[in-house]
Amino acid sequence: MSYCVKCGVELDENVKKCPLCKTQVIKPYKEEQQEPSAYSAELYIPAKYGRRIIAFYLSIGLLIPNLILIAFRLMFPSVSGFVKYVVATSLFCFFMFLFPLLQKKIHPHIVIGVGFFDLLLYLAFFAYLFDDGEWFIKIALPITCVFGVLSVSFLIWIKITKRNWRRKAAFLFVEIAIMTLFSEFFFTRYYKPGFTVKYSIIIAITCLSFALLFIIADRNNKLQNWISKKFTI
Amino acid sequence: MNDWFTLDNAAKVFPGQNTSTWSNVFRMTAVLYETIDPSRLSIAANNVIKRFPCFDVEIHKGLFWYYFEKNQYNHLPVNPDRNNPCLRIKFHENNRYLLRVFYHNNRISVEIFHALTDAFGLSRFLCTLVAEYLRLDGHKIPAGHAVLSLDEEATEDEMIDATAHFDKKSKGKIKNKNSGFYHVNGEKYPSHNVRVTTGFINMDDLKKVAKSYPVTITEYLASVLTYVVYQHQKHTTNTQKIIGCQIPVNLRNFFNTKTLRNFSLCYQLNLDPKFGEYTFEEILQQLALNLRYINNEKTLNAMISSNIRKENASRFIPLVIKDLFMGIFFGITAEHNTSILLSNLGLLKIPKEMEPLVQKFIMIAPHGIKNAVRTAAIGYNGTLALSFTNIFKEDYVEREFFRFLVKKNIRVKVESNMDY
Repeated sequence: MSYCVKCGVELDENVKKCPLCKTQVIKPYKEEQQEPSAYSAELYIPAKYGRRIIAFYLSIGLLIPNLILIAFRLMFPSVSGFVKYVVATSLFCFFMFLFPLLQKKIHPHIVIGVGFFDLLLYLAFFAYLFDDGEWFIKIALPITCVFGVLSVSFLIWIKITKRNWRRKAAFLFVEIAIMTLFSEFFFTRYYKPGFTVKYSIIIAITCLSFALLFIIADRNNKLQNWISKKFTI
Repeated sequence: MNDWFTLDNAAKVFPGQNTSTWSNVFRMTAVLYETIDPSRLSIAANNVIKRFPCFDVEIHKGLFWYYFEKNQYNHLPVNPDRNNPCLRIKFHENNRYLLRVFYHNNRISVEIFHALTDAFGLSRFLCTLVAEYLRLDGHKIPAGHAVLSLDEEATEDEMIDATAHFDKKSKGKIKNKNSGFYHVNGEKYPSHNVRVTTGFINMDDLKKVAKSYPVTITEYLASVLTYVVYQHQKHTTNTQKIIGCQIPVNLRNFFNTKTLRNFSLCYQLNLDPKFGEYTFEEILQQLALNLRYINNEKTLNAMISSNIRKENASRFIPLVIKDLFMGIFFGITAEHNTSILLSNLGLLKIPKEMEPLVQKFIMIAPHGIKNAVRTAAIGYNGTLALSFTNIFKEDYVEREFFRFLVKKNIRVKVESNMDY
């Protein structure tokens, strides 16, 4: 008969530590016949399925109407000018949302890289379709690049060490502030010459305040508890 | 028996909730004295399943509801046990059976999807299976108590949806609080890892302590669990959230039926720490009186009628939409209004000829999503086996619960599936 000296509960003869408090079980006497183990050691992990199959079926679902529309376009070229928009949007949706789900293992860097080029090509398509693409060079391309850089930097930052959710939230708010400032800078530079950043400062200050709040809360238990009490859903 | 039949009222919600994080699968284990022979167990399982036509089924989708049909495979698989019990049963696996039979050393375990039955129904199946296994081993085991006779066919009473049958169309409404409840959780184990801690509690010691107050064993255990969770909240946070204890009750004790399908409802006992500092005795008094106040046929009639009304209101909604909303709704509100689950089957009786061959029974509840405190208890042969199922590393409640009992001079033996 074995007992835990801290909990006072009886234990099986073959148990080395108490299941409740992990206290080592000391057995001064020679172990004789061991009791059979209560549980199997084999851990069953069910096979994961579903994500890739669902993405595959959605891709087929997206492909079929596009093929029909392309055939329609070939047969009636004069009345089917809208087809190029549908095909472009379908390709955009496929590479942005379905392509990552089809991968066996989702690599965040590949997702961001593919998404970045996908978005750029989609915007470029519309830019050169309607005009000379000046807005693409001066607005869409730099904003997308900034967004890509911020996404990659976030991924690298969380990979260096494990971060808790408060620090991740603070980092995200800082990134939203940077994104807002850059977005307004590029927009105003295109429409009005000269550097003018006005409205985004308000958003940036708000986001930086939230970021500061999360950083302080990360180091202060009392503030953490207050936030939990007031903002629990 | 018809070729197909509908799910009972309680079972209708379970298929929509069936995910990898919420399985609605619970387990019962019989511990014998000798190592289990898998081939003999397989024969016994396939003999016994025919006696339970309500379990010998596969589930299918209709336009508005799921339904059961006779299982076409006609062979219930028997497998070696695994370390992590109560995982989700996928409908197309396991020869489409919604129950699994396992063996390990001297233990026979049966896991069942809650859409088929509740703990009472599973206890009948397990005891009948063990009895048949022992008969194949040469022992003479008669039917009786929890062991059903294989020579008799299933009666209509065993197959009815008792909730619909006993609905008296009560207009009473039970108001339950749905927010502001405390949950013991923390860092989770890796996916599909579950810690099961079982305490074998000496029933005589437990009865003696419970009688000294005087309360029933369920009231006493619920109070101890509530007190431990109350202490956990007090020592780890500044919050004063309500502690809700959910206790399933077997309606067969109130309504005369032998149904083997779901026929149970849950009582909710709440403790609000905002009212002040509570001692254990105050918690015990409040919970015991609360339970006695609500534990009556009229309250149960109101709860049954409310469930039937909900079923009727969703009759004409297509199953696809029902499943989608059930999944979303459950994802948001799952375990919202409970801090503790205590499912006590009570004392399990088996024929006297079988008693010297069976050491003990164990019942294991499915793990929660938000809560670390999900317990199931079953009594047999002077011992109450109470098991915690936990996906969180936080083990404060198990430790303090059993230590509390030991301090009251109640003998407890503990085992766990995690290798210590």
